[in-house]
Amino acid sequence: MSRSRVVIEVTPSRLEAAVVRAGRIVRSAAVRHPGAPGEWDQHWPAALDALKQNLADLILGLDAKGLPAMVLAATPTAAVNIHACPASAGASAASSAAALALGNVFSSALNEHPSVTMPLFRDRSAAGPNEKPMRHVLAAAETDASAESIARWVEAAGLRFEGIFPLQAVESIAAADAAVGNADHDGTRAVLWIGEHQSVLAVGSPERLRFVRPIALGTESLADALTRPITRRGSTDEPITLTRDEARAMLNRVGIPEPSQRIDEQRGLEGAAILPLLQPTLQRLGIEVKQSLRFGLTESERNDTNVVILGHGRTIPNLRAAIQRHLAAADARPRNATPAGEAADSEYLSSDRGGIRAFTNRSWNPPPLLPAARSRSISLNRTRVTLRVGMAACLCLVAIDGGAAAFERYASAAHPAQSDSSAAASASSAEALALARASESALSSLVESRLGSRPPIGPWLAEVALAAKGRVQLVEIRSEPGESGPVARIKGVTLPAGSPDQEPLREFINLLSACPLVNEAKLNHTQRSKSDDGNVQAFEVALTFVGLPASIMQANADASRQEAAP
Amino acid sequence: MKNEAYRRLISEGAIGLSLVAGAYFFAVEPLQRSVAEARLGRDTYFLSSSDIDPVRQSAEVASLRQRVERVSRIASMTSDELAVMGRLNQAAEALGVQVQNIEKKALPAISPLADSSAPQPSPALPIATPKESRFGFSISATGTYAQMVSFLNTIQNDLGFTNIESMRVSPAGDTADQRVSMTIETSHWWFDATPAKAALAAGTQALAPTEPQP
Repeated sequence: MSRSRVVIEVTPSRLEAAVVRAGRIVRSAAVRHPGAPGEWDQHWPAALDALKQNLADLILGLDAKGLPAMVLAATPTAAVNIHACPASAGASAASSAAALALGNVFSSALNEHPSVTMPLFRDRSAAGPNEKPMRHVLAAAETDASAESIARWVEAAGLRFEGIFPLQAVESIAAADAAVGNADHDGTRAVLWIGEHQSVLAVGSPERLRFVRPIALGTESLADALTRPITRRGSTDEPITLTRDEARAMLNRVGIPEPSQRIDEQRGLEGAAILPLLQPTLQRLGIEVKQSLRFGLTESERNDTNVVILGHGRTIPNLRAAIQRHLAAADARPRNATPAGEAADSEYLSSDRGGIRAFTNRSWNPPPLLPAARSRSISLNRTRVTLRVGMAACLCLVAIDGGAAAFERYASAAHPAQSDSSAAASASSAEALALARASESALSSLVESRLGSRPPIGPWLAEVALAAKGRVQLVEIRSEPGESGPVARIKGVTLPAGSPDQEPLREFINLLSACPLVNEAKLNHTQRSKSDDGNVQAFEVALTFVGLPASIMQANADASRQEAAP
Repeated sequence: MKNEAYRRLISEGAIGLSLVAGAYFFAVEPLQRSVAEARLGRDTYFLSSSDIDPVRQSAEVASLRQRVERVSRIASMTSDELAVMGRLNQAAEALGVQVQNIEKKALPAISPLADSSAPQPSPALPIATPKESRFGFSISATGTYAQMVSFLNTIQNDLGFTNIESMRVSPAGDTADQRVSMTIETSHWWFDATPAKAALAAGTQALAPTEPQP
């Protein structure tokens, strides 16, 4: 849902307010206020005080109290400049360049007053082979005092001040948009926005914006001219002097008349009576346009230039034809001018031709100019809001964190039985396991202790018998427990040697020593004697064995049984 | 005015920061510390009470049970003197060994172990020394070396927890037939595995709830 806002246009001669919603003017109202432009400039910003009641009445009539208000003001202190720099420089550099250029035309130091820059148009192609596409940036500034005065004036009428934007900037943007925006023409278009107190000439094509320049003339200049004494042709009566309102009414009614045209039946006035008054202004306007086109465009471009009149000037009858006459020398062809007709002052007041319409028509939302104090205040308020939101978020996180910790604590306190039973079960199983371990260990240790390490007696007896075969005759084998396992004593007699080199006892001992089950084979004593077959040796050998733990002995036995099993 | 606004903003920021920090340090942080301590205590308790996971515990119990069953099975071979004597005769006959005499030998009383090497995990654990008993025989037999070797192997491997305490082998008469006389003294041990079995059964039961489902 788009919110409503009030857009106020204030000029030296007119005050208008419109309620705008979703870019559409919902309702509007306007009032004229007395005073010449010179007085406006001279008494600015105090001149606003005289309009306080007018604005309050308008807002009351529009039922717009409390709405945010944007002010489009034609003030003597504002400065607007459209600056072009090569597009290749970038948007930021173009903006800085536009601000610098504005600083040269602004009356005060730019950094002490509200100012704004905004991109206007980026050329799609260069004007020539040696030219570059340009980036056009609008820069506008207003003095802080003026901005603050306008803000107070708006707030006094019961509105919320949103910002201001110079009216000249709005008109410049509107003219530039019209010059480049429509792609329904191929050639160059010159848009003459004729405002009340100033005009803007923008020349461009869909490809390029050539230039935008202000002209210090408007429809009020023509009205001013008509407030001078009017002398009727062939009459000696006193010259007629119109009031400003009468002059505006006549201008809107007859515009630029033909010399023989009857323009006031009651006073007996013909067009010839006022044309000499209007001509200087028209001439100045024509010259400004003609010179601008002459210096801004080539001759071929001028031939192809289509001149369009927009703004309040469109409501003045025959103004288009008058300008056309002045531009004829420049070969420009004014088109699309307002059809001739009677335009009442009520139409002249209408928003359809003014800055409000141009402001609301454009899709962009221009950044408003704000007094420094208010800008700071807004910035501070935003920071404060952000800070409070941040603090609230932090407090929420802390609360969530605390809540989670409290819940966990509550959960562990509320269900101690569950954790205790788990712990008890765990402890119980661990204790049972320890008991089982200890019991098995006690049993195994007892078996090992009682049986001890022992040699496999059958295999070593087989080894002894094998080693003795053919070498010695065994007389006795005795095995008894020793300090570190069983000790065997083998008594025997060597058999007669088959050759002198043979040493049966040595071979017997060596074979026993090589047996893996024998730890040591030691000759205890030997005695040589003679027998019928020759020399023999009686001997005694002591053997110690490699003991095997009972568990290994039993494992070997199990393995042997499994192998023997079918 | 400008400075006052900035001061107010900074004050608000400082107050807000203090509020958040205070709320955290006075309300949340003690709670978190308390919860962390409780977690640490619980984890420590669990770690100390169960240093291995249930699957490994179950595997260990199974291994212990296997060892105890084996001791029990072997010990059962020497639980009866007459049975052992009968098996000795059977083995001798099967191997062609002529047994001249088998007689029970008087053995000294079993001396208690100087110090139990069984680990005591906790003074509270009721680990009793398993019961044990032993008996011995003195055997005189005649046969060839090969028969004697087989006979000795049978005694040492197939008659349970048996020790051949001493042995005397000498030629039997004429040396031409290679027969030898052998006198051996044996001791046969029996160990009671029932307490260990009971402890393992208790361990298995305690671990049952925590064993993983297949």
